[in-house]
Amino acid sequence: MPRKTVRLAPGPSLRAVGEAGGATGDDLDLCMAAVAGRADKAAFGRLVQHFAPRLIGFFVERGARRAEAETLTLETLEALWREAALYDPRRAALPTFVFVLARNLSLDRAGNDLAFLDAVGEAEAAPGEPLGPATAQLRAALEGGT
Amino acid sequence: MSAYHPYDDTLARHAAGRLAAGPSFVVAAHLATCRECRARVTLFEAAGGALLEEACVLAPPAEMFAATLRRIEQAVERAPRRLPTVSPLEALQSPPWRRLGAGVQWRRLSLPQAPQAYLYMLKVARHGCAPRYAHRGPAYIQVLQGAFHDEHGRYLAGDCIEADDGAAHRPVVDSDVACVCLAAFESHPRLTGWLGRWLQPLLGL
Ligand SMILES: [Zn+2]
Repeated sequence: MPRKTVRLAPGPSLRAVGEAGGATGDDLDLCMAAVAGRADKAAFGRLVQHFAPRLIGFFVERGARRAEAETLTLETLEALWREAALYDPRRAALPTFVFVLARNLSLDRAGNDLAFLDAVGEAEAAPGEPLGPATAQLRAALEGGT
Repeated sequence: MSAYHPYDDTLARHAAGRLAAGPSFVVAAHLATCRECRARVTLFEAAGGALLEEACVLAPPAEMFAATLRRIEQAVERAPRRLPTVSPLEALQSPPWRRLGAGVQWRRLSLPQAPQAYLYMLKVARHGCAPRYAHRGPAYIQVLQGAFHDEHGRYLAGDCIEADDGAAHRPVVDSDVACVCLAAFESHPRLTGWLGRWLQPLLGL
């Protein structure tokens, strides 16, 4: 199957954060480093402030009831705290990292103990083409159910 | 370099966490050797990040931060959930190979998170013919070693074949080594032909 090579663009959504959320991507990256490096709860508070409303919105938009969305958000934030050390801004933008944490919660709850690597950690990020068509495709996939 | 890849929409569903466990495992086996598809999945995940940033902002309950901290403090070591990445396949606690006619061996793999998944490993000796089989719903096959051909093409190690609904297949191995494949189905595959119909109940396949 022939396919156009498309590269990851880690930047643009984070720049938008600066205007909408009062925190820039760089600020949030510093918060992540503080959480990973010294379990800094104040820094984590800023991450929660930024991501909690968006996560709730994200889950509600995909059909979750409000209480369910709040529980999933809580679980995602807990995973963010626990896995902060795995975040590498050179590989993926922070919202992508958070999306992957939220996505993984939707995988079976039983957990698994196969030999795992992190799907995000594995991939090579390179700046380049915009996300446009991929976004539409992913949105369709998210809404298509299993 | 693989010549056959999962459909782009399949990669999107994998990235969205909306692909069933068996097919997701086969896709993960493909990603382990296909840089191009890894880049696609990474792109879909970045698109997911962008969707998250664009999501409507709904105010969390006032005690959200405190509740999160409480959860963290109480958290026992919870095993993080991940998409499967297959490396190496042998790390799976595999049941022993079982024979299925001359030169054909198979085993059903059990995923801890989805023990009911129709996920199989098939090993066919050089010049061997796999049993004729049919399936309802799509099939996902990753060639791990060797090569085979069927009515539609020739497939080498690293290739991922997605076969659509209702297809019947007669794969023939034409590599110098045995051909090993990973196969996931969304429903029970049926062996066809008189031999297959006779073997199927005996094998509990
Ligand atoms: Zn591929």
